[in-house]
Amino acid sequence: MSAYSYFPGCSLTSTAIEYDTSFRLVAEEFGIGLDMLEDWNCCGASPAPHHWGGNLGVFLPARNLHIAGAGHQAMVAPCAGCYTRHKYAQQQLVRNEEHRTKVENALHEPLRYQTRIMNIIELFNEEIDPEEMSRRARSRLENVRLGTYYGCVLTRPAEVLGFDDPKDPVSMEPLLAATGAEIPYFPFKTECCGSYMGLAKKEIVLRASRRIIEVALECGIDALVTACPLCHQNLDLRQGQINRAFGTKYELPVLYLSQALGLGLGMAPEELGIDAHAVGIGRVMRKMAEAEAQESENEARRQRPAGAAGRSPDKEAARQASPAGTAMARDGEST
Amino acid sequence: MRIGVFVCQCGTNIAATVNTGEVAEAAMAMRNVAHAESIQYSCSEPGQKAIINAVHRHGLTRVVMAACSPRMHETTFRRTVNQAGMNPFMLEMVNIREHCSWIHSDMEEATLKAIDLVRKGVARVRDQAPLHPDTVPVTMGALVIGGGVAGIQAALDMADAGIPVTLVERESTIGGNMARLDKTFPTLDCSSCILTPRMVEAKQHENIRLMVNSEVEQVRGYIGNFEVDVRRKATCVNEEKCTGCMICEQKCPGKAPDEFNVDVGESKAISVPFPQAVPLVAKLRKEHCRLFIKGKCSVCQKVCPADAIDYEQEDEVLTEKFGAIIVATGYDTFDWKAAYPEYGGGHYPDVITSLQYERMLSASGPTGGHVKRPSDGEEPKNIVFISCVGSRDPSIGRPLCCSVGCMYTAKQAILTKEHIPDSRSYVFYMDIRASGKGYDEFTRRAQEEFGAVYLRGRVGKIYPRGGRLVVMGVDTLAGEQVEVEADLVVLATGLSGAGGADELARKLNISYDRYGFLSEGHPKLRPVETNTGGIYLAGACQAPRDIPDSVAQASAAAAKAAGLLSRGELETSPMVAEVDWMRCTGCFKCRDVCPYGAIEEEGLRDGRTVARVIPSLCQGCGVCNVACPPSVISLKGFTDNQLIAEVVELLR
Ligand SMILES: Cc1cc2nc3c(=O)[nH]c(=O)nc-3n(C[C@H](O)[C@H](O)[C@H](O)COP(=O)(O)OP(=O)(O)OC[C@H]3O[C@@H](n4cnc5c(N)ncnc54)[C@H](O)[C@@H]3O)c2cc1C
Repeated sequence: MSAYSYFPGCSLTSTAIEYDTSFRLVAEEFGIGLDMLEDWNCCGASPAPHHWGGNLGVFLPARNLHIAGAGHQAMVAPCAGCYTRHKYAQQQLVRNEEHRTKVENALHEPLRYQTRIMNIIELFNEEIDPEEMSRRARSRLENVRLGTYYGCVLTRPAEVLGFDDPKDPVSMEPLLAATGAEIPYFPFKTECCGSYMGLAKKEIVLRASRRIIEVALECGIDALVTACPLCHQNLDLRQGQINRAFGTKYELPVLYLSQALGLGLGMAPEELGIDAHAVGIGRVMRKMAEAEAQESENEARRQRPAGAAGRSPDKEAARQASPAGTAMARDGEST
Repeated sequence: MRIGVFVCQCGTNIAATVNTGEVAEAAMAMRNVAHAESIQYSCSEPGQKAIINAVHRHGLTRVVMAACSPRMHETTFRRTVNQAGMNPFMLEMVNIREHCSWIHSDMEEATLKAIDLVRKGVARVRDQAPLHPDTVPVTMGALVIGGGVAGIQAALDMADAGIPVTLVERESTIGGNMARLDKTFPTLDCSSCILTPRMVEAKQHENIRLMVNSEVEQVRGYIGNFEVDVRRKATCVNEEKCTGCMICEQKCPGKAPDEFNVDVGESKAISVPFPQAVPLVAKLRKEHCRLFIKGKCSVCQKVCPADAIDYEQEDEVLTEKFGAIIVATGYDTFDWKAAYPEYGGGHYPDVITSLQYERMLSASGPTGGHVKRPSDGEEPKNIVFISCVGSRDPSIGRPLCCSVGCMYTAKQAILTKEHIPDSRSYVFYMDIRASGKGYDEFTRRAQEEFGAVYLRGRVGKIYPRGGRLVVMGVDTLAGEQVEVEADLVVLATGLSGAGGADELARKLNISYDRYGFLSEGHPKLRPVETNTGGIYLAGACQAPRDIPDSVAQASAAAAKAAGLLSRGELETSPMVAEVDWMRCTGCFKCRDVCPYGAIEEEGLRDGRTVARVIPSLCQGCGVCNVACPPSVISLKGFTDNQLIAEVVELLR
C-alpha cells in the first residue's frame, strides 16, 4: 500500500464535497492510502498568479509542496485547478533560484519542492489495475455511454503538465471502460466550459457549456465524466440556467471520475454524493438496472439445465429500455 | 616546383571578413610559393585570364585556389589551369568562403584562419602528382522509376529521342495521381482526356518497355553504367494473356479496399483499378483473396475466358544496365487522422479528403460523378472545404506548403457548383496562393462567378448536430467566430513524398528530406539533378507541385539524361585507390569493406595473390585505405603523405 499526501483544496471541502467523498471511497476500495495534507493553504487558484508580480501563484503552492514533502513522495490534487497550479509553481521553483530563496526565507528552512504532483487520473491509473476493476465492477455500467470530459487545465499547458495528449486525451478511458461502460467518440472532450467567466460574464459560460451538453447528447452520451470541480459546476449546477436562457430541456448528468467508478463498483449514488448534484442520474440508473436484470437472468440460465430457457432476456431488456429511449429529457426525478 | 596561390575576394563574400591581400602576402612567404595574388572574382572571365597569365609569367607548376567550396568551382578551375597548359589535377581548392568568411565575423581571426588553411593547401599540393582520367563507355538506355504524369513525360521525351527506356511502376497501371483527378485547374480540362492518350502512347512506344507491379530492388554501378535489379511482383495474372475484360472482377466474391478510388467505394480481391488503366490487366491481391485466406475458391480461374489466372505465379527479378535513371515517384497525401482529432480524427464519415472528393466528382469514379455523402448517400448542399490540413502547420511539425491546395480547392468549389447548382461552398483558407499563369484569375472566378464563400481563418472543431456537421472556425477578416452547418466537409490534405521514397533514395544513394521528398543537387542551378551523377528527378517526388510544373521538370530531366547518354563515353575520376602490389599481403580486408565491389584478386607470376583495384568501379571513398593493415593502398590525390603534410601544417 502506498500512501499519498492528499491536497483537497477549497472545492473538495465545499462545493465539490461529493468529489472528496467519492474519491476517498474509491481509494479505500483499492487500498490507496491518503493522508490529508496538514495545515494546507489555498493553491492560489485564478487570482494569485496576478499578484506580487505574478509570484503569489508560485509562493502559495510552494508551501503546500514543502509540507507534503516531509512525509510523502507524491501529493495528489484531485481538483484540476489545484493540480495545475502546483505543477506550474513547481516548474517555476525548479527554474528560478530566487523564488526558492524567497520561500526559504519565509519558511526558515530548506524548501522541499520536488514532491511529485499527481492528478486523480494519474493516481488511479497507477494504483488500479483495469483487470481488477473489471472483476469488481462486474459490468455494472454495461451499455451506459460515458462521455469523458477533460476540460482545459488537466492537460494544458502541455509543456508544464506533460500529462496525456492535450488535443486528444484518453487517460480516463481504460478504467471507465473496465466498468463495462461504453466510451463513445466525444469531440468536445477538451472544449472550454467557460471556466471562471461565470462570475464576470455568465453568458459566456452558458453558451460554452450549452454547446458541450448539446454535442454530448448528440453523441448519445448518458453522462459526462469530469475531474474538475469548476467544469462540474458549469455543466451540472448551471444546467438549469442554461435551460432557462436557451429554452432547452437538457438533463445530462455530470459525474466526477470517482463517482462513475464508484457506481461501477456497486456503491450507492447517495453514498457517492451524487444526490447532491443538480441533475439526477435517472438515465444511468435505468441502464444499470437493465444490466443487472440481464446479469441475473444470465446467472439463472447458467444454473438452469440447458434447453429450459425462460423468457427472452433481450425482450425483457427492450421493454424496460423503451421509455428511456423516447423521454430522455425527463428522467431527472426518477432517481 | 613553383606554386601559385590565388586568393579570391568573391566580391565581398570573402573580402568583407577576410583580408585577402594579407592572405596573399602571407602565402608569398610559404616554401615553394612563386606567386600569390588576390583576385576580385576568380571564376569570372578576367579572373580566369589573370590566373592563366600568372601561370605563364611565373612558370607555375601547381596552383592553390583559396576561394569557395570545391563543390562549387573545382571543375571550373581545373579547366582554367588545364587551359594554362597544366595537368588539371595539379590544383588544390582551399575553401575560405563556406569554411571561413561566411561563418566568422571577426576579420582579424578569420584572416589568420584563412592563412592557416592556405598553408595547409600549399603543403598538400606539393605532393600532388599529375593524374589522367580514364574513359568508360556509357550504356545507352534509361530507367524511369514511377509512372505518373512526370514519369510518362520523361519516358516519352527520351523514347522520342531514340533512347531505349524502361518505365517501372509499382502499381498495376501507370497514370499516378493524375489519373484520379476529375478536371484540372486552371483550365478545367478533363484529366483523363489529356492523360489517357499519353498513357497509351507510353505503352505502345517502340522504345519504351513498361513494367508494372514492379519495384527497384537493388542498384549497383555509377553514372553511365548502373546495374539495376527490378522485382516484378506476382499478381496471379498472366499479363500477356489477360484482356482486361473484368469478368473475374465481377464474379469475385472477395471484397477488398479500393486503393485507386481512395476507399470511395469498394473493390474486389481481383480487379482492374479503373477502366482506362494501362496496361488493362487484372491483379489479384492475395491478402484479400478467399483462396489464399481460407484455402477455397478459384472462381476467377474458372470464369477467365483467356486462361490468364495463375495462382502459382512467382516474383521475377530482372537485372539490366542503364546509363541514366530518372526518379518520378510522386507524392502521397498526408494521413491527417491522428494529427487532427479536432476534425473528428476519422470518426465522421462525411469528413473526407480532397483526393476522395476528386473520385466522387469524376464521371468514371465509383459514384458515377454524383456527389454523395458517405454517411447516407444524400446529395450534400452545404460543402465546407478546409485548406492546409497538414500544411503550413508547425504545431504538427509540417510547416511546408502543399502548393496545390489553394488551386485544387478553388477548382473543387467550382466543380461542386456545376454538379449541384443549388449548393453552397465555403472555403476556410489561410492565404490564397495562386501564383501560376492564370491561377489568381481562377480563384477569383470560384468566388465571383461560382459564389464560393471564402472565409479567412482556421477551423478549430467539427462536431455533429442533427445528422449534419457543424464546422466551427474563425473569420479573421471579420474578426469573429463562425459556425457553418455542413453536409460534407472536404479536407485539403498536405503532400509528402510517396511511401517508400526514402527507402528507394537509400538504394539510389540520393538524399531526401523529412517529408520523404527527394533532394535536388542545387535548389537553383541543378533543380533536376541529384547529388549522385546520372540520377535525375522529375515531378512531385522532389517537392509538391502541380501538373504543368511536373511535366516541365520531367522534360528537363529527360533532356539532362539524353545529354549524358548522347556522349557515348564518360571520363572517370582518376582519384581512385591504388594498391602497391609489391607490399600487398593479400589479406583482402579491402575487399570486405569496399562498398562498390571494386577490388579483385590478381595472381602474380611469383605465385602471390594480391588485391587489384578496378578503376572504373572505384569511387574514391577511401575506406580501403583505412582498412589496409600494412597501409599499402593509397587514394590518388589523397595520399597519406599529403594528408599528413596538411595536418602537420595545421598543428604548426
Ligand atoms: C486532390 C488533388 C487535386 C489536384 N488537382 C490538380 C489539378 O487540378 N491540376 C494540377 O495541375 N495538379 C493537380 N494536383 C497535383 C497533381 O496530382 C500532381 O502535380 C501530379 O500528380 C504529379 O505527378 P507525378 O508524376 O510527379 O506524381 P504521381 O502522380 O504521384 O505519380 C507517381 C507514380 O509513381 C509511382 N511510384 C511511387 N513510388 C514508386 C516506387 N518506389 N517504385 C515504382 N513506382 C512508384 C506511383 O505509383 C505513381 O504511379 C492535384 C493534387 C491533389 C492531391
